Amino acid sequence: MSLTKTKVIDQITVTESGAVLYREATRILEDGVEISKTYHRSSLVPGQDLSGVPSNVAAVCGAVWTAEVVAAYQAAVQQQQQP
Amino acid sequence: MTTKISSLPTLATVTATTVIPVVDSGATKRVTAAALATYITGTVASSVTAPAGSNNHVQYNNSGAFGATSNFTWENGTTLGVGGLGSPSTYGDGAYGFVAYGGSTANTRGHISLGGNNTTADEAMGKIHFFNSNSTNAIYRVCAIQAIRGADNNSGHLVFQTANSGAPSEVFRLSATGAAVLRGGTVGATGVGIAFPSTQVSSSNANTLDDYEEGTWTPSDVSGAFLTYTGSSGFYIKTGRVVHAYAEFRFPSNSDGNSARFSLPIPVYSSYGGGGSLNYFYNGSGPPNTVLVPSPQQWNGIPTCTLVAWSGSSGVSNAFCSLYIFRIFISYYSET
Repeated sequence: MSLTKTKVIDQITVTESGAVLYREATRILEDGVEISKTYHRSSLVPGQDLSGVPSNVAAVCGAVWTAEVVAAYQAAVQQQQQP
Repeated sequence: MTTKISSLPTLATVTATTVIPVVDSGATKRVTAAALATYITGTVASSVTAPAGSNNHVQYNNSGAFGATSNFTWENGTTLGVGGLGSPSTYGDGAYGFVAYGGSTANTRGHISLGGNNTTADEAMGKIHFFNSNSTNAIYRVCAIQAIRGADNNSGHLVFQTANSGAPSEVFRLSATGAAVLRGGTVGATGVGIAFPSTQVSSSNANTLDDYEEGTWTPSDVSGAFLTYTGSSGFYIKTGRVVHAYAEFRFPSNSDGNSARFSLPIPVYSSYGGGGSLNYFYNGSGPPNTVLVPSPQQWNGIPTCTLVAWSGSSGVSNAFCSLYIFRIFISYYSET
């Protein structure tokens, strides 16, 4: 019997404004069969520092966050829409 | 109906010298029935008790009596019954089938056993197929129930397959531990409960529960100031479209004037999706002088919780929250 622990980004969602939401799944496998799984969710907004961000998520951010997307996000922030 | 003989006639004693009169001396020798009857005693029944059903039945009955119940009946060539049955076709909703019937105690009730010789997990041990056939004799397997081997020789899962188009595939599993696994759920699920797919398959039906997920998350600044919270942590539970989330973090020392906003784990439905309570709000030097409420919303396409002053609809600034510790519980309606 062998136990292994793996962490994978199993879900990446890009919103229309360019925000990137991702989910990390931590799986415990016993002889290759999953016996436990937990999730951790995080989010990133256009232009955010990507230090420590998983490489595949950073790659998505790099593709999505064009100068136009970042500028649009910053413009929306400046409008400070209130609920 | 074929006439049955209820008892075999017996012959009278015939010796080597007994002569039975021959009435036809031609090439074919014949004797009369009357003459032959002289040497036969007993009777041939003119009518006999028929077996249960008609003459296209096969029936086993170890008492030798026809009719009534039997331990094995092949009725009309269509319905097979084992156990103490009369007409097995009357036990189902059609004439074609198999019926097993037993007594009232556990070891004598009707049962069907399917088995295999499996040494590897997930191998099928037995399977029941359901198929459709049309007039062109095409066979369409549409559903199946099978047992598959678990991790050990004495463990197993029950798998249900259906076909929406094409070959049947697994849609539901009762795992060895008792977990009910829906299509796309973790097939190795342990414990007792319902395992939903890891990625939601949304239903448009108002009475269908189509998602459950629980996990942890990291609340982060989405105000545009790119602040770094300290001690940021949280957990969430999503049941259908209802999300309950807890967040805990501390604002850094700052003087940023943007509205204080932090991220949520699951997208929010529309602009305003819920509410919450701010359980703890403290900067280490005294109680806050403003009551804040968390306001979940999909802001600028981002699942966001804005911190709003109770006294009005205005959000407070990051500078206002400088060094404050927040512990917030939020409930909201999700996008899917």
